[in-house]
Amino acid sequence: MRIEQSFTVGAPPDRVWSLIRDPQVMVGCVPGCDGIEQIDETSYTAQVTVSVGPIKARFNLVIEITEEQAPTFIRTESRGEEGSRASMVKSVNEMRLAPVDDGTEVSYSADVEISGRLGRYGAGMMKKIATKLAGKFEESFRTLAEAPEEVVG
Amino acid sequence: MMAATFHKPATVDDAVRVLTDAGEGGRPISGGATLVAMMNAKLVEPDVLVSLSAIAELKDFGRAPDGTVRIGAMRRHRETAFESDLAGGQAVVAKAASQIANPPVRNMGTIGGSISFADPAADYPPALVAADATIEIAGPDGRRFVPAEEFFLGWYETAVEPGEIVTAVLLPPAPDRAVGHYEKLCRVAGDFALASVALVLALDGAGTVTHLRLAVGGCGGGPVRCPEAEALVVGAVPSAERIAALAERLVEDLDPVDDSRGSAEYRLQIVPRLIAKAFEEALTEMEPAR
Ligand SMILES: Cc1cc2nc3c(=O)[nH]c(=O)nc-3n(C[C@H](O)[C@H](O)[C@H](O)COP(=O)(O)OP(=O)(O)OC[C@H]3O[C@@H](n4cnc5c(N)ncnc54)[C@H](O)[C@@H]3O)c2cc1C
Repeated sequence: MRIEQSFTVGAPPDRVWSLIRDPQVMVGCVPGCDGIEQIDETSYTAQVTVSVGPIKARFNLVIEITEEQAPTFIRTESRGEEGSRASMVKSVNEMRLAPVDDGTEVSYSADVEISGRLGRYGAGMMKKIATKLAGKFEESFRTLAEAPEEVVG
Repeated sequence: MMAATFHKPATVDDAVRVLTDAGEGGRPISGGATLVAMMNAKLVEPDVLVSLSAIAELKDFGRAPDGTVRIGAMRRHRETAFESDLAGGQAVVAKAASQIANPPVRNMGTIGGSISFADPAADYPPALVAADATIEIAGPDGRRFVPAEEFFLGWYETAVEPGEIVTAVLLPPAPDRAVGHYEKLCRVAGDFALASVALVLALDGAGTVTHLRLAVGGCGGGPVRCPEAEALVVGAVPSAERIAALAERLVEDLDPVDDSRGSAEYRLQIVPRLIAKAFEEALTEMEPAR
């Protein structure tokens, strides 16, 4: 399934870029993410829990930055499994930053493949759920990016 | 998988305590109609199961002097379907209960379990929004009350926090002479709804709409109500044209999925027809009194 969204943040592209490239900021903004560790220049591991009703699937993800042009474009690929379960998630993500009058327009897309426990909900439903999670990300990210810099420190 | 520890507390306080202590691995279980199937399929593997079936207060149905009805969370769909005290506008909840699945599921499933699971196509959610219900929730800090409209957060998410349980559904008295109706369309008998419409409607002596609450199920993350659409009919005679205008406005707010039951497009097309049918049925039911 493909998710495409865009939103505007009241902060300049340089600042938005530095936040996006800060793993600790991402831990705080990605719903269900409780840890990111850098492995080398371009790869990270992350733990993300996706809840759908009583099902809580906790994925160990490997995220690879496959292309990056600061401060306007980043492409990542992520792959993850859920412990010993047969649940798997794979995604190719792109994010573009563009200056606009009052800040930065962030547009992103994700091509996601999901199988296993969550795959049972069907692509239509998972897309709605993913879009809802994306909305939560936007809200946390915007709040953080628009806060006075000292506070974010 | 390790077998879950099973608890059967006798009070709400004990249930909340056990659940809170269990943390992430704890799950309440009511009728088990949904949860047991999910456990068998290994979709969920709780460490601690807290059965709510021995808690007397959750099994009660009662009416307060002001007309407010209290349906305990453990009331089975079958009991609610046959509840003779749910008349007038409040009957929309009994009518929804009577159309859930099939008799075995109605014997097993509970109102607390159904709304906590919050399947987007479940029957109670739109009926509870139409009835302006309030959900009573118990947690470590006591009880709190959430209007049905704020309870269903969409796509299986509700206002219930970890460690909390739904204890009851409260239905305020509907206006005098109000009628409640529930119209459900499913692919095959006994299935979840493709789409459904719940409404509570009251008219004055001149046939003018004095009260209307209408909610659609199966066409979004949770029940969809649109006060702006209702306002196109309130204060007027509910003509076919006005009802069509209401439906046209409401459809804009729907967010259905394509799934094995039907396409999103099909759902958007049938909702206006279900709305028209729901009004027709409600108005027919009113006739003898008018
Ligand atoms: C074949 C089949 C067909 C069905 N068709 C329909 C249908 O047409 N329409 C419809 O509306 N429903 C339908 N259902 C669902 C049915 O109504 C279930 O009974 C209901 O969803 C769950 O109720 P339960 O009491 O069995 O809950 P359980 O299975 O015991 O629990 C369900 C979930 O809710 C949680 N939970 C249970 N009670 C509480 C509580 N008091 N507080 C907080 N959390 C709680 C549990 O931890 C679990 O996650 C169908 C189910 C089946 C198996």
